[in-house]
Amino acid sequence: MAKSGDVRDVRIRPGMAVWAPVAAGAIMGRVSSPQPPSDAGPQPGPHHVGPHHAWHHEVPPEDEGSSVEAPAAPASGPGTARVVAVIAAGGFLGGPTRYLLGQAFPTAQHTFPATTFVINVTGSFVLAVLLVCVIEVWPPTRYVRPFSAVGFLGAYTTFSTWMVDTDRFLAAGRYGLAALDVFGSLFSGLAATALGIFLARAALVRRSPGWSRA
Amino acid sequence: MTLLGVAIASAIGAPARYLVDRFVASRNRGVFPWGTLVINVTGAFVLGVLVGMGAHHGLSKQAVAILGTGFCGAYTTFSTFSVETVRLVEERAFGKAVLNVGMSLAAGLLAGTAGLGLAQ
Repeated sequence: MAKSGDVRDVRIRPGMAVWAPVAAGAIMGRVSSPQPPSDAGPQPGPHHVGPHHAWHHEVPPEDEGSSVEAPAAPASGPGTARVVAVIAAGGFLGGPTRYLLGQAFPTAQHTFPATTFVINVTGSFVLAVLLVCVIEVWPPTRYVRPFSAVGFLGAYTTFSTWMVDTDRFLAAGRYGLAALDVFGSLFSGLAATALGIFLARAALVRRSPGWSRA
Repeated sequence: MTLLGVAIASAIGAPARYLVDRFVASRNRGVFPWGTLVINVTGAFVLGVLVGMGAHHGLSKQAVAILGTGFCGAYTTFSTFSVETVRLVEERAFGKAVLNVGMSLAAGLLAGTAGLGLAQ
């Protein structure tokens, strides 16, 4: 528990080496990986179980009882099968949500793809808020993140349509539109993500060690 | 029926992303999000092929919706790309953040164009 405070302190120290939190996350991951989250009980809370580690992968190893950091860990097993099934359920809902929004608000060819833009920006904001909740606020859970973050929001937002839409603008010589689509979506998505993390932490993360110094 | 097809294809695409991400992450110990980069670039290529086949080879609108909007849309992700980039900035890995954005966009646009061109 004492180490978890160190991890946060290391992260927020200005001018620190870039690899420092990674190493700390790896250490924390190794320390905590043998603990299945359901049995973890009150001991390593979500604030303390290597938050960097958790942020770096779609589903943190703690949620599966194995460590991505350890290459020897098998990539399959009953835990993985359940996680995959839960992700599929989230995708089953997220993909059609995007499809239905596209049907409800179609955008003409060679016009700004506003529907995809709104989907991606809102999805980024919600993912940022959700990940702060899952990683830094809520007690550890096994399936919330796979279902909502990896499954639903991952399927709800799309990178490929963004790229192919832009490619078609470029092919049609609509360079201004292509630039607007690429940079508008990019910076709006990044801003929505940063805003989501900031607002969620401001509203929800109060007792976290080191927060007052962040 | 198209909606159900999109749902089923999305239910395959999202777990495919998870498994590819795990596979790539297990081979890279650093913070750079190679998994999402590989996923988004390959997904853009496949969607380019599908859209090109829809435009030039008579692939039905329904098939493009199910495989393109459903599978490729669910397989690739914008939200994780954004979050991973912001995390790199937060950890002061500015070079990696810029590299992630630059490589994702350059490779993603090239892959999409390659797919569209291949299907012409």
